[in-house]
Amino acid sequence: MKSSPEFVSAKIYRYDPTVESSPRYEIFEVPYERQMRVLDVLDYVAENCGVGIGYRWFCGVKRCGMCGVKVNGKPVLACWEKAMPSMVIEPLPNMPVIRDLVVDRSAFERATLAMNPCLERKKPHEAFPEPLTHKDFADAFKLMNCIECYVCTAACPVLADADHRDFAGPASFVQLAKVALHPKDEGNRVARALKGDIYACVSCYQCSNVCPVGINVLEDAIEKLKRQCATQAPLNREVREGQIFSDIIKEFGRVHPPTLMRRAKGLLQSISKFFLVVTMYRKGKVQRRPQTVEGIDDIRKLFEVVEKSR
Amino acid sequence: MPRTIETDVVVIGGGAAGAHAALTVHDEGLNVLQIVKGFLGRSGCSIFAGNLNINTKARDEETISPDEEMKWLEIRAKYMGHYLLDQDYVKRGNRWTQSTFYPEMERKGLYIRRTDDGEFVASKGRARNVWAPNQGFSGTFIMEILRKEILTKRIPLLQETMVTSLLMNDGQVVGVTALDIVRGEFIVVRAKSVIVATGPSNYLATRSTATREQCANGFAMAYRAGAQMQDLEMQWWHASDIASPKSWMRLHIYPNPMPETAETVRLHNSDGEMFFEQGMYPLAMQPYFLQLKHLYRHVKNGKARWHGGYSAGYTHIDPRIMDQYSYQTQFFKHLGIDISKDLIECGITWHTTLGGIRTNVETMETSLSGLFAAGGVGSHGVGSITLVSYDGTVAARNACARARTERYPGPSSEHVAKEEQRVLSRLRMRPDAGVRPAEVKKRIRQIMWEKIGYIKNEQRMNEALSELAEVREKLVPRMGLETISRNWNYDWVDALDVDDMLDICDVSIRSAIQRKESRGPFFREDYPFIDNKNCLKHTVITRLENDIRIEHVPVELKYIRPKTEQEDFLSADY
Repeated sequence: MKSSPEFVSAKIYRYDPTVESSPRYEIFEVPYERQMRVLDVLDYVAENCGVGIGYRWFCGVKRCGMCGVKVNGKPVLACWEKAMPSMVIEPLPNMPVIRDLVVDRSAFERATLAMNPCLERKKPHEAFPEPLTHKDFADAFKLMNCIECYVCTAACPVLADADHRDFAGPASFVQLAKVALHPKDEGNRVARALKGDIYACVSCYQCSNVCPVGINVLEDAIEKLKRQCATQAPLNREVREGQIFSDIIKEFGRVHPPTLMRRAKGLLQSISKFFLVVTMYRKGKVQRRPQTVEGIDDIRKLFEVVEKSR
Repeated sequence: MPRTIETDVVVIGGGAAGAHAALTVHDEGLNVLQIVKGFLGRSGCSIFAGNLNINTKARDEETISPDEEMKWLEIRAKYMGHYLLDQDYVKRGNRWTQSTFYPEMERKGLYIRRTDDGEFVASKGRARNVWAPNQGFSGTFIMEILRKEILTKRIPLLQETMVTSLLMNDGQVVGVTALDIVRGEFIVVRAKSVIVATGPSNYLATRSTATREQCANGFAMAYRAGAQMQDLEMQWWHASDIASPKSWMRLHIYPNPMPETAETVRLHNSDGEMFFEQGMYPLAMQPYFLQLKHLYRHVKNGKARWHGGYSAGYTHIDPRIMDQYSYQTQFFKHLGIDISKDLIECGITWHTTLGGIRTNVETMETSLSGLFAAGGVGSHGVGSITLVSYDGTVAARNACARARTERYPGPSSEHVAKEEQRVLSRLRMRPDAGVRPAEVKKRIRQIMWEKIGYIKNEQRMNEALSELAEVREKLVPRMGLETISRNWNYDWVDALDVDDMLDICDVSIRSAIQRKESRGPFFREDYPFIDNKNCLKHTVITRLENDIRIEHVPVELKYIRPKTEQEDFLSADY
């Protein structure tokens, strides 16, 4: 068994933007206690080290969702993450700093509200308890433990890109999916997903990897919403482009940019990119015509399996 | 004059009572402002509610079975309330829970865990506990739904805003003063009615299940304004909470039956010997207080400590049940504990105070005109998310009725200036030999943990009083912040908490000294008997200019009465 450290070293980000011109770091040595969490380290510093560190938390047991911080580069909940012998503790990325480790989440909280994350019923509620089985609820159930901590949103690389200011972020999509997958919900959830720019998601799994309550954010929330978009709004530009992309893969086994462009953007727009395509062709980046890859039958079988599983 | 907001009704608190109060005032068509020291539905103790109790038969007067209702009332009155509860209130609250709370919450999207055939997953045996959506997570889910409703309805809400005092004029409550923690701005709110709903639970001892911000502020503002306080000595310590890590002490391990079984968690002493399970007391549905009596014996014999050395275990329960239905299980796994064979080390925690601001349970009015108390901050606390929700709706309706007839009397500017001066006086630095407010809070909690734990006696209580007085005289004058920046300066909030904690710890101990018996969660080693003949009374304390007034008010027992005049506390089954 690994022996526990006697002390942990915490290098903590300090910044009060109203009075300081730039952030600084302070290092604290904290005596290790059994099963210590990052939150216990912060509490120790606040209660014993004579500094008034700004950090948020309320419950300590993964319910309030307010103690998100970045530890050694990874967004985590301080109450859940084990204390490590050497830690750099910083505020969550993708959000403005209010003070020290306290961030302003309000932009993303507004994005969640824009989804109308309340159940929308058109038919009145029947007498309690209403008929509902766990089978009906199975998809929504996978998201029930989401506590809106926005740790996934902090980890999302799309949000770090200034081109995607309209992207609602993974946490807001989980909140949308919670109602969209509720068997009794009758709201127009697809419109909300598209408004939140759901197709900006690059399916990189960062959200799923960091989720402190173990939700597979990408597969169980975002992909499910995209699926609803595909079936309910097939004419939407982004839905169509996604469909064309996957059709090309099914047909040839790999993507062929000129074909993708012609089918997705139409002939006129494709002609405007004629010189780009010619340059790419000369440099050997694309073939003139799409060529079917070896083993295309296996790829098509894969498609069948995936389609059946839906 | 500081920034002033005018509204009809102010609601202080962001748990189930406050949320129901705000929604009810909004539905009644009046203006409401909800002020939350932390965040709506995230701070406060409502998020910890574990079980829900469903009696689908008890919907209304017509369908309710009188026998069933009496059985349920006995559990509440005897085992949960030790005869101090208003029994009619409990009846009303239960009927509302069954007829209104569950149908309304389900309409809003609450999913009570079902089987693949659509039946509720419930515990077996006498109680019918259900969970939404999982054992241990019901309160978090309920608060999420209420939070989203308030936010999407755009009900005026100030979060991270600490109410510092009740504004008075001519004996009436006419508003509140508050500190916006993010901007460091002092604000005044004028209102016709004020509902305080800051919860039963407070972080007043080293080990507590209250959330970070709960520092007796609701009690303190009412007490300082002259409201009557009742039964503050009835402190409920919870027997089975995780010993380490410390931050996980709020992960309640409930002594209630688990899903699909009548089995409950078992407690084991340091020798591994099992000493408690719910089955030992089949009549006490939620045997929280009986656990402590058993634990006490093992502490006395050196086979447990209050902060560890004994354990909770689920080794006798099918691990599939724990995996499938329990929110807590993931925590045990994260610590590397295999609950099919390993035990979980526990400590006790200060869970709630059953007493509070003295409340008329028909209207939720307090002794101060214009002030209503909803939920656990009131004196009738029964520790149930559904009953506090009921309180919120009752308080709101009566607060609205008052607001419709009252004019704005307006606060006295002298009072506002004095309070602003008090709040600003805490925003100071002490570069030499100063102590941080967080350190002072830690010291207060330590005194309460060491001297006012589960075992109380007069000598230790007097020691605690003098140690608290020493904190007030020696530490508080040296208290200073790291900076005087007004930007999210939690040091400043901590400093204001110190004032409130000192006042309420002091008056709670004085209240405890007055009760010369033991009862329910309240155990005095120097009076180890339940005295129904002489002590079945409420302890009511009111703050006077330089003193306190103590009264003993008899309890009305309408349906369920104790069968003995006096009995040994430790062997009694309630």
